[in-house]
Amino acid sequence: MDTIKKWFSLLYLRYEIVTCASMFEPWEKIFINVVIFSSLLLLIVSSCIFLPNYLSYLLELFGLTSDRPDTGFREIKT
Amino acid sequence: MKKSNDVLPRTNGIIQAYGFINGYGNSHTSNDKPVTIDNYTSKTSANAKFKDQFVLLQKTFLDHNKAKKKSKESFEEAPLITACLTYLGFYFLMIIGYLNQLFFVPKVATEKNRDGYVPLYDAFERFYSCYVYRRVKDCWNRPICSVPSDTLVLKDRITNDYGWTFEFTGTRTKCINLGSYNYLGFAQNSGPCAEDSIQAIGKYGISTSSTRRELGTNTLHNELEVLTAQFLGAEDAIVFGMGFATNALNLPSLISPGCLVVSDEKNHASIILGLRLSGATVKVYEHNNMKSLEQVIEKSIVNGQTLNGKPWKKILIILEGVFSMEGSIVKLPEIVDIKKKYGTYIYLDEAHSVGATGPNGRGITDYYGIDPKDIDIMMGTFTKSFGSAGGYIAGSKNLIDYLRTNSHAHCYASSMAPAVAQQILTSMKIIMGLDGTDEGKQRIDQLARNTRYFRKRLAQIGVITYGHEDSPVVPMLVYLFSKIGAVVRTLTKRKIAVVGAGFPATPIMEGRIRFCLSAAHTREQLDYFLQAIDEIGSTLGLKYSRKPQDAETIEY
Ligand SMILES: Cc1ncc(COP(=O)(O)O)c(C=O)c1O
Repeated sequence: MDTIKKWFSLLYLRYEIVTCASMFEPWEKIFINVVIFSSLLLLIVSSCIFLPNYLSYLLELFGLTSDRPDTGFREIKT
Repeated sequence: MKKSNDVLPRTNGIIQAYGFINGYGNSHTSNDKPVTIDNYTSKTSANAKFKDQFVLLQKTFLDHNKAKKKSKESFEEAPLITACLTYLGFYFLMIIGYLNQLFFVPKVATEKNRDGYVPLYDAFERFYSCYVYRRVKDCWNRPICSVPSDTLVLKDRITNDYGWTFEFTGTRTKCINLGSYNYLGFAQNSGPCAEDSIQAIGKYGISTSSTRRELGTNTLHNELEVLTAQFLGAEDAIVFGMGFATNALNLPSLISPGCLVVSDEKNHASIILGLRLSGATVKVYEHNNMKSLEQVIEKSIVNGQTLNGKPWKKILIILEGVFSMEGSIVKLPEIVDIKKKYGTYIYLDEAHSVGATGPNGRGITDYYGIDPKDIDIMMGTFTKSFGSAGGYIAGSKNLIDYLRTNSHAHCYASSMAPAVAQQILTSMKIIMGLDGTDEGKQRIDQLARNTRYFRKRLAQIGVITYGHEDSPVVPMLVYLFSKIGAVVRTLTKRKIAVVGAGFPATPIMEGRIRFCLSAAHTREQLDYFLQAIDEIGSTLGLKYSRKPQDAETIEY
């Protein structure tokens, strides 16, 4: 438990240094964290939702899988 | 002009250069002496063809030697990801800074009733110092209240408004000092230097309050000039009250519009100021890159003056002995060859090298074993190794006499204080061994040993350091802007005082911590420090180096 805690605190320290959050005032820190985490969240959510369809469409496009019906990407698009 | 004819016929300059390396190398690489032609020809036939081949062979051998010599200096590249993260950090800083500026009134003095005036300060500079530098302001300009020798006492201060203002807490912290240019450890408040200086105050007063040309010269100044010339092996020398002014005010009297100055890109601000004041054409070459230097000179000679194509009045190569931000040592032998080949002058700023390099502490010429007469203008400061203040210029008698009549710093600046001059005199005598002890020699050896040990250990720890292995200035690269502050603060908590340097003093990418070694440091202090660096290097992520590290213990 202790080592996990230590590991996380180290990770957070590195994160704060890379984003310069260690130098910010509290409200700036909150702001930058919200921005970073929300954009990360958006990225993850969107890739979860759209990536599989998109990938299968791509595969199809290059003729790697031909036996599946044409769904996914175009459906979402229209 | 004769210089322009000189470009073509001197192809044998290269061969001369090799001969030269042979000469200066012997003090440092005595064991890898090149195979001489004569040895070989006596064994084989005296065939001319063979001889040619051996000349070639010798050349490649020496080339190899040269490469080996170069490898003493290292400038390891940063990993790409670090570069990206550094820029990312700066973007965040800028964005947040602009937002902050938008929503809050900065806590700085603002001018009133100034509608319609052009702002006095540069907008970006103001923004940078209020919203970027302020966040780490506590790491710089820290007040101290002791001699900055191997240890120093910091006056603790805190900030309650994120760096806008500071308050003293009333407590003090004693720290190991790795930030002062105290190379030979003469910054002391006891010992012969301090005693002599105190006596000088009694005898000559605190200040002369006048310029050298008027009432400001006393016997100490004259003695100091003679001793400096003797110390450096020059014909004559002239001393000034401040090192910065020595550069900034003497360069304009030496060069004028119509002269060409070829300047290293990492030269100190005082040199740059002096060059701007002089009005000469300045061309910059890449840091310590001889090819670039030669290219710049060759091109400039061929093209002549920028506007009218006339030949240059004078050509001056200007460089430093040990570069204070990079920790590199100038390649003086090559520069002297280039000087001779093109008939230029050399201005060598030895601020960080005099006292700190060379087996006798006489600076870079001593380090390479070069005749000081080959350097036309030797400038240096007493601020670093001598634990005092001031600057000198040494050279031929003609040059110094010219400066005595023409230098602004000599005519219009007040002269060196007697106690300051006495401190230099005593410390210089100790370095030269004129005091009858071998203390000076011991200090020089101690510094060399500290330097070698420290640099090797840092390499072993795996951090990236810049510069030459014999240079007592050791910049450790941390790259990220926020890491500069983090490292300085963490080390202060562990009672170690260091100096950080970031943009704009360095390129954006290359934030660094600069350690300056001293003969006053003991091995225990260095070990304590290295231990701390090893630990915080793991937590903060400073171990960027991808070089192979040898695990064997390094002897002191
Ligand atoms: C190369 C160089 N020249 C000149 C100076 C100025 O010397 P002083 O501190 O005596 O004014 C410095 C000081 O940092 C320096 O590094």
